[in-house]
Amino acid sequence: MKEDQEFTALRRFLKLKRYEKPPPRYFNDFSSDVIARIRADDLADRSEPLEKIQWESPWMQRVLGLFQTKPVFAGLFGAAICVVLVTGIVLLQQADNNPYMGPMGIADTSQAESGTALPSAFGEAKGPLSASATPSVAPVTYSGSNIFEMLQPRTERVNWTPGPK
Amino acid sequence: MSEPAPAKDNSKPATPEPSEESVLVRRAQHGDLAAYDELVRRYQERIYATVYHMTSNHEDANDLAQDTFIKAYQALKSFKGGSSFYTWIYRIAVNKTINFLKQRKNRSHMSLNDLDFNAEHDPDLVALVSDKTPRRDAGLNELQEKLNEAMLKLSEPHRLVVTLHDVQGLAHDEIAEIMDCNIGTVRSRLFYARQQLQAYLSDYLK
Repeated sequence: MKEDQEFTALRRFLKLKRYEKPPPRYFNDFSSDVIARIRADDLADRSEPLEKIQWESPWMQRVLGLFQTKPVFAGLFGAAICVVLVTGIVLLQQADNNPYMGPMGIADTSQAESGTALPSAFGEAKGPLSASATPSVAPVTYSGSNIFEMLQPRTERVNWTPGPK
Repeated sequence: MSEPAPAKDNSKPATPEPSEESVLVRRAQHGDLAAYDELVRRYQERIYATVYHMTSNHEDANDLAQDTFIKAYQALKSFKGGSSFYTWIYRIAVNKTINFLKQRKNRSHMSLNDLDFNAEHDPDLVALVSDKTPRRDAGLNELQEKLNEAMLKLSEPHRLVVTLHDVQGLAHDEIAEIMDCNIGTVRSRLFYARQQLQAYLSDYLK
């Protein structure tokens, strides 16, 4: 209490602050503004996952915006996806039917016919070895259906046995 | 000169019944926004005033007071009722304001509210002004500005103690609870803050 008496003049001066008032009707809308902001935050939390991704990834927002303003791009994008899918399916089916498949999906039938395909590539060469050589090339078959598995190189041993003189 | 009336905020509404308030708090904890709206209405003026007197800026006080109530709603589930809702929300407001002031350091500018016309009729203020200037309105506005400048020179804890005690009329123990310190600390801070203010405003207190 002694302290209070010591600062009597100051405390009177400080009374001035109690008369500082915000603009009239300021508090009329205060609570409704607070509640509106709480509701908005709640809505943002409950928004659709797609919307969330849209807002969290600006590039996605731009792409989706482009699709909305120019539907042609959406159609083109859809068509491109379809082409990629169909191509993939076709390639997969061809791979199942033709075990010898080139990297671009073109079947190499000459190798598939017989194991003698390889010597013919040497032409009519004569020699102690080549004349009677009977190379044995085992046909390579791909059991897997995975297109990537088919593209992997495989090594088969070739036996060159000299023929009778 | 008459003795100043006990520090009391004119805008201070009657403190609600604890049981009634706890019912509102419980309803709000279950997502009842109407109940929370009622709680906001009860404390909006006191929270706004505290933040305003700390910042001396209406726009900042508006933002911080709204943020306080939003933060309180989000944290309402963690409110266990260990203290009164009133103390709890005051604490949120005070922490938010002090953090804001620390970030804003040296970039403060005042945006003062107008004085209520009743100020002109307060005998203490009339006496204060008539000694200084013959034009009362100009005198009050000038004094208001000087007082706010002096307040902003205080450190945040000292300004807070003066605001809560001398401007808003809270008791020492309530302030100690809000500031999470003991009553002795509140008293010593108040004494030091008043000394500082008296020095800053010495020209107007003669």
